Amino acid sequence: MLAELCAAVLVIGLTAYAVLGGADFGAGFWDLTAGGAERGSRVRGMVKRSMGPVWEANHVWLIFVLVVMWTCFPPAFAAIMETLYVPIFLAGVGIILRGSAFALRGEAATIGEARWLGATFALSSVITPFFLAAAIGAVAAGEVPADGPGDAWASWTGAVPMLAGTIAVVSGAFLAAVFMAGDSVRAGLPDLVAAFRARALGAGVAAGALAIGGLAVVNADAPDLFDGLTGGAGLVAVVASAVAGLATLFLVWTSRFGAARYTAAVAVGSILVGLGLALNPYFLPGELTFDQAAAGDPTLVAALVSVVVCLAVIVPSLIYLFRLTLAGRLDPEFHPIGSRQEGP
Amino acid sequence: VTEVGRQPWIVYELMRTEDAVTGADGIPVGYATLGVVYIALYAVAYVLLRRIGREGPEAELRKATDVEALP
Repeated sequence: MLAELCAAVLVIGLTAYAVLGGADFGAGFWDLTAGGAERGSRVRGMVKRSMGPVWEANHVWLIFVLVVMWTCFPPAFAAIMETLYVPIFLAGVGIILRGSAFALRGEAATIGEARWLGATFALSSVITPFFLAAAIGAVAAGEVPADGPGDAWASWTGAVPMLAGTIAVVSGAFLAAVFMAGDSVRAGLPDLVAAFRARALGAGVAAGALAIGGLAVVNADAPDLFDGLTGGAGLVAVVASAVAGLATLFLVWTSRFGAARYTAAVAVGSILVGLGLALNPYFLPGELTFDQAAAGDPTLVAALVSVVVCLAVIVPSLIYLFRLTLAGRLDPEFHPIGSRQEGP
Repeated sequence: VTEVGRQPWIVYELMRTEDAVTGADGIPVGYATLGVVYIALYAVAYVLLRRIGREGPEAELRKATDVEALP
């Protein structure tokens, strides 16, 4: 019972990270694909304007997930780290480079420097979620043995982990485009509203196609996971994701970005919830259940109490931050990036 | 002293360090990569801080008025 509760906390943390952190990474994806310095300057300016107030807050959830995982499920954490250290390490390097480049970009004096820092930021925004999700995909596909390290490369380079990584990048881009279309409406920039509306529709269709095509890949490579996703509680989450995804496409099509923000979050979040439900009762499929992986009861109780205390502090502040952001109270001025690179 | 003094235990009288160490074998490569990344970051930060120092506070103030402040 306690173990299931901790597992639920873990899945909730992962879901929050996939939605909020995913949108953050997705903004970097649009920075990467915005085109040349001149053509992409307005999209890049919007990315920076939207991300500025919230970008650190969104990554609280990664720390949350890691702490819950090693406190509540130490054997699973050890097994995952021993086998999947390559993708997790690459994601870590991506996180370091991304934060540094984003912060330093404002100090660039020449267009060459700005281009380098911008490219580092944008590229690491794609690399980080890809490898994190590939690691999750490897766990879900049962590539991680409970005892002793599995293959450091073959474990996460199969079809299912690669699919998970791609879906993470595309769904993050989808979320970011939906959010930034709304932000552009608020900023009164119709050309950017149109640009992000088109991007949201494109990424939404791509994410849907990947999810449907991906089920075939999962069926071939990880039949147990497929059964979990297409039956019982897992199926409910998958259907919820599909319905919310279609609703988002409709809302974006009719330019109702305020409501689309929430349906898009449900569409992406349900995937992670579905994954957790599909794996249940296993943490490492076929190897280790949540119960077997759980730490002693006193540890779990202590962890749950701290989670409640920590959420009581974090959730109201996050809600306040998002309300201020959505009300436009934190909006910095809009500056295109790249077209205006004067020396100081 | 806290690290060396309790050897060979990682958790005193409960778990030996050799039992706690990871079975992953690519860790030296990973740490070397991390070292390179951080050295590069130091270099970039050094260059930027020197530039800010050379220009003096006036340039920063001027920039802060026409470019939004970054976190």
